Amino acid sequence: MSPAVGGRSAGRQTLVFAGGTVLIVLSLAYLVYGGIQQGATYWVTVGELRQRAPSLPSRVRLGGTVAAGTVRWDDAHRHLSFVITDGASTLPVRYTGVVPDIFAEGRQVVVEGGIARDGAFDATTLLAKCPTKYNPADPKSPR
Amino acid sequence: MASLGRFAMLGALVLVLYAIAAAVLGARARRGELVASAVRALGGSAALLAAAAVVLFVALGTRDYTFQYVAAHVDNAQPLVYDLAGFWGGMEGSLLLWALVLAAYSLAAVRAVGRAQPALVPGVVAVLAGVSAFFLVLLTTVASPFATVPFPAADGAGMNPLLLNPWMAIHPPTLYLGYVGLTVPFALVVAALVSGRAADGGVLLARRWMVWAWYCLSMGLWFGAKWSYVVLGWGGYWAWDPVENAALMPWLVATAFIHSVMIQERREMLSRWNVVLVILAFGLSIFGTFLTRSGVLSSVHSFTQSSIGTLFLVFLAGAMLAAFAIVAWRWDLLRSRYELDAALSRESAFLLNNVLFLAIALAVFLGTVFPVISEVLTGRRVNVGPPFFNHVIPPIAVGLLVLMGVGPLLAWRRSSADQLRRNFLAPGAAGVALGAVLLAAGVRAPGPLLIFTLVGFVAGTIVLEFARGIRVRQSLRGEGLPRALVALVARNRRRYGGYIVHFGMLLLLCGLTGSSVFATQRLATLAPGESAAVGPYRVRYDGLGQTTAHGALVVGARLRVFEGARDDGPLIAARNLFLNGRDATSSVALRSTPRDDLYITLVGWAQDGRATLRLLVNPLVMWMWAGGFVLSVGAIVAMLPEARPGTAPAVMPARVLGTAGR
Amino acid sequence: MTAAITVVLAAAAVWYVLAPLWRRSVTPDRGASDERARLVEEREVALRALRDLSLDHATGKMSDADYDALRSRQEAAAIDALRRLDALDAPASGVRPAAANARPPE
Repeated sequence: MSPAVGGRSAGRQTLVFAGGTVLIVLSLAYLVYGGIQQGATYWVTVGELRQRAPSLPSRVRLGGTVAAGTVRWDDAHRHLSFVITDGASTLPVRYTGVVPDIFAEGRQVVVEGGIARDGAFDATTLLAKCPTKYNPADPKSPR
Repeated sequence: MASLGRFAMLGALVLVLYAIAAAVLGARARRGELVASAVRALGGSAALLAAAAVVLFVALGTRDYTFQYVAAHVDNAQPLVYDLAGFWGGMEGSLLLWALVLAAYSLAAVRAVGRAQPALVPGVVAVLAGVSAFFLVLLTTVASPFATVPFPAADGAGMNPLLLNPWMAIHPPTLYLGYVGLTVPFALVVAALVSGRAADGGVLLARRWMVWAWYCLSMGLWFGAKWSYVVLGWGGYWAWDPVENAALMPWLVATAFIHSVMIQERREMLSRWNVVLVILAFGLSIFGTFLTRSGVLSSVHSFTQSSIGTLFLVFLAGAMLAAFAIVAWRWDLLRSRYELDAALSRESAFLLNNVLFLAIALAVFLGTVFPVISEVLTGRRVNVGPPFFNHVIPPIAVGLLVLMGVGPLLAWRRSSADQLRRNFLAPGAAGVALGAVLLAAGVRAPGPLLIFTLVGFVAGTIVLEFARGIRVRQSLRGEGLPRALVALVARNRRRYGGYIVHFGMLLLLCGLTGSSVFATQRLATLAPGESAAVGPYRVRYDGLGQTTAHGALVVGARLRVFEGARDDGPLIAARNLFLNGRDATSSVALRSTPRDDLYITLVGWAQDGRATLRLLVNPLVMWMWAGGFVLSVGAIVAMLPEARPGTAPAVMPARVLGTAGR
Repeated sequence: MTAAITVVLAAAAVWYVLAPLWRRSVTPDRGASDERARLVEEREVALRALRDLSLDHATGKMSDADYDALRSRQEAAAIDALRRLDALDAPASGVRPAAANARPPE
């Protein structure tokens, strides 16, 4: 049973471990930084988007409710259009692709995408939230 | 009836508060009868919680719509089994489930500790009762499952139909066994630290419980992934959702602990580190519960949407502060006895393993709470989605994969470098061979190639470990191969059970890599009789059919799958449109083979009978489920208790007993 | 009806929980059994370590020199744990109950 090995080799061991730790921390920081750059999308509200459209990044995440009576579904082209609202402002949204099962008028949705030239929101991703507060899982839009 | 439930919970709360007081008083005044009374109070509260649960189950089973909770999760068309599963389908019921599972664990823990280290019983009772008290406070104030309405509706709202699935019925209870199970090691460690007499910080006693909780978390995660894949219809099994991450984080910490505790056992080192891991795991389990219940990460702006979230945070902060204060108080007690002997040893491999697992846990944590951090720091709420996790985690996982292979080749305390090099050759060759085969088969992507090469390497080391161990046994005992294998595993359950678990992880990793990197997808709108090609398959659409089942209109697309000339049989991809007009789910057409999964969902249809289908080919998905199964087998092997030899040691070299030692 | 059940349950719980306080038993000296449990655990850990060590060496992960050095240290630890356990079990007679069951190493 050796207690702390004496002197020189203990010092060198500490150095190795310290160096290794620093290396790992730096690598992790580098990875995290890169990951954030790759994955970050900004949350905005409908109101903010209407006001500050040009100054926001091109890809944002928008949360709101599907306004009643505004859902149009073109089955042949799988083209969905509706109006999203945060209670005060509204914004038309366009989306092509598979619509999640939970999507319906009055439901909360989250869309990712950007403002198009005509002022409507072009959504690349559409997520719908379940109305119950505690939901063990979030139905996700198909990837 | 509801008032009975309410009374039962209130009574349980009173009892656990009494239990805390009696346990603490009994320990300080050295009055055994007070501690015994505290233990009984814990038992009494468990009984009352069971009574409350029975009340809720009966209400669910009889569809008593005077209960608000029942009305929210049951409807007349729902099958009974899912009515009952509605117990944990909502917030209040799931909190009651938590409290119930905790009560059961408390009884088991107190009994075990009473036999192993009776001095710790008061502390364990106090901590477990304390956590129970928190949940009971929630249950009796803001989240009661027994709220009633005077005039019951004729029909309930029913559960979200996505939850009407066997996997989803079993996933929360299993996950809870894991989450709640982390409370017991926490209680053991805190009790041991407070008592000041356990130099290991109670860690070695807690080990068993951590392994069990880890196992349950693993299974819970696995069931959740399976459910996500089979039911949600998006073709994936993991989306880096906050709710999923909430369960992953404690799992990662628990996995780190399982490895580092071996260092503590062998070398009486790292007790401080392990104590911190146990406390952290418990904290993450509470944090995870908080994440899934407050609206903090799914809403656009507000920090906490309900008072529940605030209460959870307060409890979490308080518990963590108290626990770490105790650790600081007993810091000197936990001093390591020895230092690392050599850099090239199993200990240092395990240390690195811990660092990497915690790095992943940290990355998951950062990615999950990033919206909150960014809002606090910059005023803007920023999300980081799957791209973040898929960028940060795989490199770290590769490091862990390398360690998984190299670790078993190292010996405790010290390994000779040339021994290591020699042991490297065969598995290394296996890995390179696998990589070469894949390269020849047309796989060009460097990431997957690297991973599969490493998988081959690690598999090689595991096989080598088994082979060598068997050879040793055969040379000593002359047993036949099967007998030697069984005996080897039986005599070294933790080691070889661990290897089996690793092997399961390898299969899982293969499945993960195959299905995420090499999946192909197609969206096709077909008229009856038309076909679409996807991957090696050709799928012919034969028309739509309609039936009703379980309160839903089921619209199904009849399909037929061909592979080359071979007819692989019919499939049906359906949409279930529930008669309440609101909900719809998909029934996925799934054809699984070890090579790949053909995964088809019916996305839409037109009046003229044309259907829009989403076709996916996901390679190697079956390997993931197989991996989970193998992991389960290995975990059970490792958890089986080694035969207790009574007063006599099972194995002891004769010379040790004969001489006084060298 | 519910009120009756409630009262009965409450009374039963109170009686069950407070009963031990009336039977004022002397707290048994737990010290000895705690110590024994700890020593048993220590012995198990020491023996397991020895077994793992010999398996590591037999499967070729350590050099003979390393193995000899580590093994003698580990054996000394195991003997120490056994001795202290024996002392606890039979302090007066000095008998070593464990000695009878020696078996060759695996």
